[in-house]
Amino acid sequence: MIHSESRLLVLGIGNAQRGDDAVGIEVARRIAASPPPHTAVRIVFAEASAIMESWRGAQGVVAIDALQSGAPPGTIRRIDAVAESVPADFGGTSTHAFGLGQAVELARALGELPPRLVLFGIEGADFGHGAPLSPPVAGAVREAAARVRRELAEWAAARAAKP
Amino acid sequence: MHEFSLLKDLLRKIDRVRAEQQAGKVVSVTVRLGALAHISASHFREHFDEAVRGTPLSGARLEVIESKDESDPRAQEILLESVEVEDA
Amino acid sequence: MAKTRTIKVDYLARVEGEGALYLKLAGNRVEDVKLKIFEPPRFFEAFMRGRGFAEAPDITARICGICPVAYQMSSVHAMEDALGVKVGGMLRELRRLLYCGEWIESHGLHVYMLHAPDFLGYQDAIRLAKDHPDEVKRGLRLKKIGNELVTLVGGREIHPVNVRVGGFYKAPRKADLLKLKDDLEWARDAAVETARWVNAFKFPEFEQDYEFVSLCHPGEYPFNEGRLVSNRGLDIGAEEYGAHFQEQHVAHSNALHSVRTGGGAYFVGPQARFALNFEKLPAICRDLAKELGLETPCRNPFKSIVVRSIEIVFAFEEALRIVKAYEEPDRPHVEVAPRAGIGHAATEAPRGMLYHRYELDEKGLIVSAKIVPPTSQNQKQIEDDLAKFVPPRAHKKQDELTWECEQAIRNYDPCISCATHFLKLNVERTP
Repeated sequence: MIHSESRLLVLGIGNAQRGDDAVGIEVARRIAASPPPHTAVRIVFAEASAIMESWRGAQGVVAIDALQSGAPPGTIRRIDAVAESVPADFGGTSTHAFGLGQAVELARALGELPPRLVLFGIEGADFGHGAPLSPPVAGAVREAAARVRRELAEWAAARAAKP
Repeated sequence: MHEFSLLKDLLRKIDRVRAEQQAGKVVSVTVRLGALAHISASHFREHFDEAVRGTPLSGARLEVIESKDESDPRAQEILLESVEVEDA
Repeated sequence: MAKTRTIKVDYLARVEGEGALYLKLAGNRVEDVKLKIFEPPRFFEAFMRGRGFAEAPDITARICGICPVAYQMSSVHAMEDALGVKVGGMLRELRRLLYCGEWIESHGLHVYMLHAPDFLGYQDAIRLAKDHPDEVKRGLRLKKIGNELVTLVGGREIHPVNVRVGGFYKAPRKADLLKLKDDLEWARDAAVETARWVNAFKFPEFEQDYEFVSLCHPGEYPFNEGRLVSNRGLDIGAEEYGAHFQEQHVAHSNALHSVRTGGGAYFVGPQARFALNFEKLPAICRDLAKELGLETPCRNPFKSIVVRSIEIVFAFEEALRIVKAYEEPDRPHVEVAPRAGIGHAATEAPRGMLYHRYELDEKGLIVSAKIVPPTSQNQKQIEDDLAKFVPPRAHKKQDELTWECEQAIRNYDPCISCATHFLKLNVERTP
């Protein structure tokens, strides 16, 4: 449940034990180190119903997860999940058939999507147990965090502009 | 079984290494099979020969290191150790 | 000859294949069936060597995001066995309560999100939700209440941090547990409705003569304690596991299969527990089974969804019993002192029996660890079942056969987070 003061949520998704699957968690930790106003940061295991539960009550959500789409490692992909549908396999390795992509589409089917929802996927290379982030993925963390902050700043600005 | 996708992944990785290093022809490839890697060396070799046929990797030598240590943390894994290339 | 150089490969090292089940058909005959499961516990077994006994519950909780409590429970019981510690009273009840939460979460996820869509002809829970939003919302709410139990007793939802060898770091407040009472009562009734809902599904005719293996306790439906029994006469303590079960190397593969020593495949999980412990279920569950016409033992793995649903009812009923009778213990844990020894434990993870064994040195450091998760114990049984399930369906079109096989595999609730790339199937046909 989101504290009423924190209308915005940054959601780091993944498994800290599985190499590049931890990238969403790393980005979220960076945001947590100095969170923007009214923003909560949470880390959640990539399981659709847990993801849906974690964003309940939030006005705007930025979720970050690892990807395995065949793109070069470290590539960052942004999806506005309210405007466009999300591939079911969007997200890291941990729960495959039932991760972030499924959470978004299940929430859409049930009419439970947050008003704003943007996903950042970062292409991973090595999902081995106990592996550290691979160099190209570690190299993408800073930029991903900056893009998450820009997204949140734009939402805050849009809100302030409203009469 | 999953050998086909396994080999596809391996070939993709070898090609990525080659491209990153701006190297030419791949001469040999060294792979380490964990003690519990779900595939035996001879089986792996058969599938490798099959997978490289008609590709630029055709003719490359395959070195397989078989680990016997079942308690190794990576005992279940197949690792690409090194790639030997000719400079372009 | 051109100059060559050797490039060491680092971050690209791990070669991964997708596709976990391979089926080779010659006409209608199954020539080969191989299931590949990646078992993260192997990594953790090595990772734990040299660490202190007290670290085991935290480390093993990270093996699986769906059943962290099961790994914690087997590890603390095995450590307590090695260290000569016994945990009773309210602390024992709290452990059962924590396990209730995990069964609810895991079974709820499986029944509603993974298994029900199969029976109703939907590709996934999303499409199911479009046509049956109320049922899916009910499933999500059930699961959430399980989640709240785990968070309250376990201290955190993903990797519970409150569990320690000897008990808990902090015991929950009585008032906090009682706040859950209304939700638990709603959920128990909703779970009964769930069982009625799934019992109306159509099940393929597929009865098998299984050797069921589960824990068996004289006074309760098993979570944490009991002897390991089977319907074919097995009756041992966890410390004898190694003498009665073994891991066999599989031809053409270096994979290991769990089998009964001198026997074959065996079946762990809800159906095994139900078959071997039916009379220990509370009346609400036994009556429900009767109302639904569910036979015991239930030998059709497709009906595991009904058994799983009855176990959800049990978990809510048991949670209510514990919550109502709960009194805060004087101390959240018993004292534990390190010593050298070997400890064993088996507990009932949602998907089946989970065995741990540890050897400790005199400082309490882990010398060796062995973890046998339920999915790998069922692996051979899944292959054996598929070898029988496929021939009468071999004439079907590839995508239809694939879908039916996937459904058959889902009967076992294979650990989706442990067994990566699980539900991909390759069928190879020769005339």
